[in-house]
Amino acid sequence: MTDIKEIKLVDVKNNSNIINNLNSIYKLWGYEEVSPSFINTLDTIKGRGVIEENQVVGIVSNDSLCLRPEMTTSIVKLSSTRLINKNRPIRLFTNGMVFDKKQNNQNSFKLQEKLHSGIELIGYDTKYPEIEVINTLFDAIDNINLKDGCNLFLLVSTTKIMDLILNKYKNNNFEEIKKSLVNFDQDNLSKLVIDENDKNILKDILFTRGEPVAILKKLKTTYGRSKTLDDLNFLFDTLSKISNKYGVKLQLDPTFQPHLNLYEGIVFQLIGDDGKNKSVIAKGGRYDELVRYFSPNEKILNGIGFTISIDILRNFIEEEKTDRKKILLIFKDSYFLEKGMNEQKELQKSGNIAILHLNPCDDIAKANQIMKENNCTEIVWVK
Amino acid sequence: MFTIALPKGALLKDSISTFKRAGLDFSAALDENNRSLTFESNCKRAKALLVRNGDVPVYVSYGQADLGIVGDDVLRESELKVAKLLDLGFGGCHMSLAVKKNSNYSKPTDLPANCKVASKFIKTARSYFEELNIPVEIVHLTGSVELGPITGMAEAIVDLVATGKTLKENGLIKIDDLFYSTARLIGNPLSMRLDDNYLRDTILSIESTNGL
Repeated sequence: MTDIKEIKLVDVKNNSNIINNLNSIYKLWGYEEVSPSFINTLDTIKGRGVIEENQVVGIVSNDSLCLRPEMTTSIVKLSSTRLINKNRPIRLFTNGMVFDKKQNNQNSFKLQEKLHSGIELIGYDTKYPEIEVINTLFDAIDNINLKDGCNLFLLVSTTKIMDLILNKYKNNNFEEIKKSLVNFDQDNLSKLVIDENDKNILKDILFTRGEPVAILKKLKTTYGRSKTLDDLNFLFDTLSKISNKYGVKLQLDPTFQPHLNLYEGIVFQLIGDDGKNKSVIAKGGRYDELVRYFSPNEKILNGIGFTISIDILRNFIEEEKTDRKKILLIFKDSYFLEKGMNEQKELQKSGNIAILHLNPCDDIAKANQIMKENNCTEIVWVK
Repeated sequence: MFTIALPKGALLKDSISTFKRAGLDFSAALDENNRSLTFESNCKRAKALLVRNGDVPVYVSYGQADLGIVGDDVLRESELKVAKLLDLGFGGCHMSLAVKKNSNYSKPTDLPANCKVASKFIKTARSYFEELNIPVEIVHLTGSVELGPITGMAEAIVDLVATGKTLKENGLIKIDDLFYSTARLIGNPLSMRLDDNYLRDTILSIESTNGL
């Protein structure tokens, strides 16, 4: 195992600010904080088999324990155990570490700790939870001070559209076609032995994405009217209005599917683009089957949520500019220690950062050096 | 403006011709006196980064380039997440298994178990021998792989063979072809998903103007 990174102090501070800002918004939307363990049994972490055993980091113990690679599964498990008697719907949020395992070669792998934050809305038997969850995501990100020129995109699709596209190929190259579309592998698609007309339709679909209303119209022309597409009209019509309000460009992409097979129904990714880098800031979707897996007796099996990657979001934030003074208090001998502590408290009450140097000093040059070393803006002598 | 990673070396001239036919002219990159590593197309719609062949998938995968051209050999070895868009057909060469001419090996299964095989393409070589269920020790070399069997360090090599001239001059012969490698157009998956049709139009234009 290699490459476990410590993060810089400034990043720790930024992480904390981001988490606080996000949490304040989650709470306004009625979400309650939970803190499921990041260590769990392999059975829980695997969910209903959507996460492969080789994707998780095991812990040496008598039980089969692992570090979680994502947060949703552990929260859904929590909702079906300790929170089983809580009235539905439940709105939960959490912040914490997830552990990403990447194989380097046959004998070693890279372990990355990642800080995530997210919400889960479980137990609503309507078609509106998608709208609330995405609205909350936009509101939470809007509360973060992003760099000027950072554009946001919501890439969105539903697994139902993919079902519609693939329906015809259930017995003919189904997996290969799906893989080509999801991985954007036009090269592989062009080599498949399928009807040339079908191939042209699939190729056209691979390059189809954009404003939802226009894309749904195009899908109706290609695949005919269906309940699936009619239902999506309402959803995307509402989402378009919300995304316009927050200045997020909505991009309906019929062949977009997330890497983890966790979701069914709506799937989405919020992408940041500052002109130099494009990165996935948040991802989410609907996971009714996961709710069913952990709570087979539950009547309402709906669950939807998102996870924000704090480490990625941090790259898009504007550096915080503080006008608070950072004052260094210096006392000449131990007789003034108590007075120094009192003065420190008073300065802090006035909104300043006040640090008491815990080594008596009466040398001005040395005091100036200590001030510089502590990044302070001024010295207060305790006399 | 979108960004394209172009490979230095053998694939550069054909890569520039490919984009030129599609309306993006980066001919300035062929000027030997020009040491610049970035070039704007004459139409100012795109920018090219001139990078090593092996680095093209890296720039594309990490999103610093939206499109790129790279040999299939490098692409298979890198295993990075990129959208594989078009087989451009040029730059063809075989990824081959070769041994000393005077050895008694005429097919891969003749190689002794746990023998050493030298290659720049260690993932490709490992995957090939795993498929054949032949246990070998892959020795990673970064150049002049032919020296492996000549010096006695390795029984065989896995390397790119274009004309076979280098093998012949070093007393080696090919005993199997792993695959035929050609230049590929690749794309950054996120750029493709967020595309406002600029990339799509370029890809379709390359496809039609290059008779693919």
